Amino acid sequence: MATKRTPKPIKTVPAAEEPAPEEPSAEVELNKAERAKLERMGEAFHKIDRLLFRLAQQGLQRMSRSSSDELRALEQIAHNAALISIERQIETLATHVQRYLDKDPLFRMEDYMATINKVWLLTAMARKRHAAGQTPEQMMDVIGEARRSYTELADPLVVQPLGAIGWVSDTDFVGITVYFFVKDRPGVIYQASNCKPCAYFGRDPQRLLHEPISEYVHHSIFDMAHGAYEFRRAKVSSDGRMSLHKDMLVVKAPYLGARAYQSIAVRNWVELVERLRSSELHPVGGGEATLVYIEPSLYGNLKIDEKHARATVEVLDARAAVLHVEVPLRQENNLLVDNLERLLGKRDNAGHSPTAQKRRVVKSAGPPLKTPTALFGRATVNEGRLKLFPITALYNTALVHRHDRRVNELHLTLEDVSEYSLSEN
Amino acid sequence: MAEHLTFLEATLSAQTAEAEALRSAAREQPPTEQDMAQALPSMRLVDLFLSDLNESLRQIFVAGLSFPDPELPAALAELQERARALRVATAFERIGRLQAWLRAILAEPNLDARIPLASSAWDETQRLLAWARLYKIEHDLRVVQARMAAEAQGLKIDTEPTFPTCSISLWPVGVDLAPSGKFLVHGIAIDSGKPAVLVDHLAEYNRESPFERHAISRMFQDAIEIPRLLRSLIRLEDHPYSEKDGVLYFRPAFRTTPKLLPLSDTFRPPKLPTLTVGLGVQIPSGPFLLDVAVSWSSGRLHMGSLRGEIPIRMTPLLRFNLAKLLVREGLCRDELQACFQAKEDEIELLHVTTALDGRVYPTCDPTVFRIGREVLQARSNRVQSPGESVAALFLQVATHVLGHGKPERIAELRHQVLECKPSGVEERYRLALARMLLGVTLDPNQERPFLQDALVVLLRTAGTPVDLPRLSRVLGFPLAKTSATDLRYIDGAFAYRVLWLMIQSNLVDEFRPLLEQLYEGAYKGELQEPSVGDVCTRALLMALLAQPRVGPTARHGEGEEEDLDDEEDTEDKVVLDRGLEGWGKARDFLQAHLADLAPRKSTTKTRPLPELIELLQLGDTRAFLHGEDRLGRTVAPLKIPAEKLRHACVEALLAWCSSVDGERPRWQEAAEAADALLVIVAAGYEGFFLA
Repeated sequence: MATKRTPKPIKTVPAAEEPAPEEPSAEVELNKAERAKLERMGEAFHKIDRLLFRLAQQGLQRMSRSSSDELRALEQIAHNAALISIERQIETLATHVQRYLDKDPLFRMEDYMATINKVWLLTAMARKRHAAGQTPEQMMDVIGEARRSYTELADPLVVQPLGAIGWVSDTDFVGITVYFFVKDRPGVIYQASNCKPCAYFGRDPQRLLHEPISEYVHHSIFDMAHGAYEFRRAKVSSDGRMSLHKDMLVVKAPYLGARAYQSIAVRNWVELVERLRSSELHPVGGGEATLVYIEPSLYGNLKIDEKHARATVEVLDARAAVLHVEVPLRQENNLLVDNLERLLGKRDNAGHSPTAQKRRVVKSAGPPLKTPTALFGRATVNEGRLKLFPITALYNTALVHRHDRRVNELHLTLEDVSEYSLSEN
Repeated sequence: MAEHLTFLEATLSAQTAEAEALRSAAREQPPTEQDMAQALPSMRLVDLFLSDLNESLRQIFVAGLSFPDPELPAALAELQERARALRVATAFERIGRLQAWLRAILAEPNLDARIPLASSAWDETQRLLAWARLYKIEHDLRVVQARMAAEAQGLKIDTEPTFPTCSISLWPVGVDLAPSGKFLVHGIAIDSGKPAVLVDHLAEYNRESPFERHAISRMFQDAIEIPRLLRSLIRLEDHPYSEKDGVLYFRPAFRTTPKLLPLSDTFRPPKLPTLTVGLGVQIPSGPFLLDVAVSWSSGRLHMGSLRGEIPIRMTPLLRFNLAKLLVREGLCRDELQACFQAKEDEIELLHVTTALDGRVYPTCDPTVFRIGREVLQARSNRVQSPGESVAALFLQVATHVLGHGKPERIAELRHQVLECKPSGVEERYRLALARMLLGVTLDPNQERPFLQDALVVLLRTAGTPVDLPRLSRVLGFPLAKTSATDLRYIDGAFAYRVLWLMIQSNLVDEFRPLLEQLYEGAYKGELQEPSVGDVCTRALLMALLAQPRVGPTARHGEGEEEDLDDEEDTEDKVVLDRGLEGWGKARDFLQAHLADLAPRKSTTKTRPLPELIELLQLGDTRAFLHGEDRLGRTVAPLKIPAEKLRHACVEALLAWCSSVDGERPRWQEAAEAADALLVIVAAGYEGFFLA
């Protein structure tokens, strides 16, 4: 299990593929509703700017309950003007203000400033597009949409799971998300999720692993997380979510192995930093994790840091650069931490970290039993360090499940490594 | 105010120019990797600078821009100097501009006049904040890069794989496919001559005939064709392997896949050892050649080594293929040289090479050793005076019509069929089947007397004396007295044949009262252990008696549609509804019995297969009740286990073929061979049997 937050959609389209924002629209016939929406948008920009400036003038120390109420009202104005991204940021801002007024210890000045900055940037971007005569449809990447819409794809999609992660949301839903590589669409990662209310299914996503991935698709999540499939009549949203609807046909397709990971693979950590740079340096977005596939040359042992409540493993690339595999010590990550311990061994007091060993060891003695060939996970830069949250461990030779099922992927938050052994190869 | 603004504009322009100069200087000296490695201490200064900048901006957010902190411009000026020292041009420019706006606000005593200044300061604050946020991300990335550059000086780590890997070319000699999809490719390593096995798993393959269509292979990570794989050289590069008892085992890998290379004309495959000694022989661990004999005697197929008793693993598919081989060759015994491999205490066949077929894989491919249609036609023609035997004539019609024989021969057979004088219900039924195949209808006038007699025999009450000549006529053989044995022939099968002939002669309406009597007397209510004939008879009677006119087309006739539209003709509608209901009930009744024939997952018990002619009858009855083509795939919907059905067919053909040479085939074998051919076509198995 990874997080207590509601899972965020990943960035599925590389930055290079994003549409140029300031292109004026071609001659498009707008209907009455769209024209009215654009009109409301123009008025909303004014109101948002005015309120933000008023807050800026008076400063946080002079804020009162009415400031919070005004922000809630502004939220409605943004919603009516179809400025959904801005509406969500204003909602967050109102929460920050409320926390400040309530003297809530969760209030953080940095977050408050960053949120105001995001509202300001989004408003500026949206206004620019609006002035250029773009339609709401063309501005979708800036203004967002209230409800995700799915488009049916004409061609079949051949997909292979890159990883699968179990989660429990703060709205009390338990679920599993499978990340899919899409054949012939390099750089695109789609995701399919199955989630259930915790009230009926408990808080352990492992229990969902052998359930069908959707009530219309008879393949279990386990099957979908370990083989390649062809989806016919698939529906996909603009942010890469797949709809597993009743008209969709799912058939098996040839497994692609490591080829599926090529577009997100990095050979060394310097390359990984470059990858992060391209995805993080976004004026409004950014700061989100990037999904990557890495093939470490050397693994350290698992180290438990009780003080900072995290489990870390140092993994080295071929040039001995260090990446920190880091997992927060939370109840939902117990299986993940146990799996890492079984895979890599726990570092005892007398042990040496690979950082210390590497000065002496030029050629390693080979990885220990069950050491993964590669890892798939979310990479970030935090506290001046390169970090990876592991989602799936990958093996060149298959692992054999105790029920004789052979797999090359071990989904660390969902599958217990003690149920697998290395194949007799 | 105007003075203020002029000064402000000049300040802002100066900041921009100075920032541009800083940028140019930075561009002229971009950092190298060496610089990065040594940059960590200086990066700490940037960290501190960004932290202090954030603190200054925080003041604006807390105190507001109406009354900014008077000390803030001085703090920003100090930060601007630090930005210059760190050569961060954008920060230098933006801090300078913000500082200028703040000074302007503080210098303006009029609160209303402060508003536009505050608005500009607010925009500048936001720009600076956005820059600081992005710069912090970039800075963190640089810190990581610098740290990695510092840590990784001159080190290189090589990893060893968990399993050894090797690169070989493999010549495949056989395959083994389990029902679970586990797929083994047995082969010989070209360079070392070592036996090797690819352990794969197939999906989405044709389970009835794996050599047809594509299969999805985990090992090749692609769709493969098994015949193409067996005609190629398999190249493995750096593929993980294990070795056991001198055999190399390769399994699907994540990063490597084998490649198929076409065999060149000059390719000389490794020579396989031939097992030449008898008992007590040491069997090699890899593939070897062995001379074997295949024989058919007493209804049993046997394959044995010519060099002594070595137990050979016989699978149902292998038995089926070898039986086809004997049928094709028209022999009861044949000798072959085949490639084998040891498996536990037995040896298993990998491939057989014959002059006609080349290299074939009878343990996996059900389409090998197919029998030529001309061969069957020629064999059926060997019978002298075909008019003497209705069964032989029926067989000839079956082989020629189903085998697409010559039109002149089919015309000749049609003539023979029309001339033939059958005696008894069985011969009449077979001849009617032959007519059906030839598209010749039955003459009601010729059939009427016989059917009259047959119905009288069927409707006799228990204990009443039987009219011996009549019984003799319907059974087709002379009777001197009534015996219990003879009366046993008046059963469900007899009733079915009579009813079927009646349908074919279009005499159902004429005999309707008698049929109603038959239904009321023998087929109404629960049937005790009914035979296939009973089931079919009852289903047909249920359907036929439920409406006044025979045949499913009557229900949908145009005339009746018009009648339905007429409100006054409600009586016809009631009759039609009753008829539809009756046909539906008949279909349900038959379906319930057909369900017994289909394999059940819940039980391991095997049900005996009905006779081939009974399967044809069930299929025909079902097709009749559903209004389907009665000469089409009528047996396929019965869902009979394919393996059993194929065996039954090939055994019937083998029994007939083994009796063709030497003596004239007996009635039974010829009829069953014809039944087998009809079933093969009706089940859609031509591809497994007929070439």
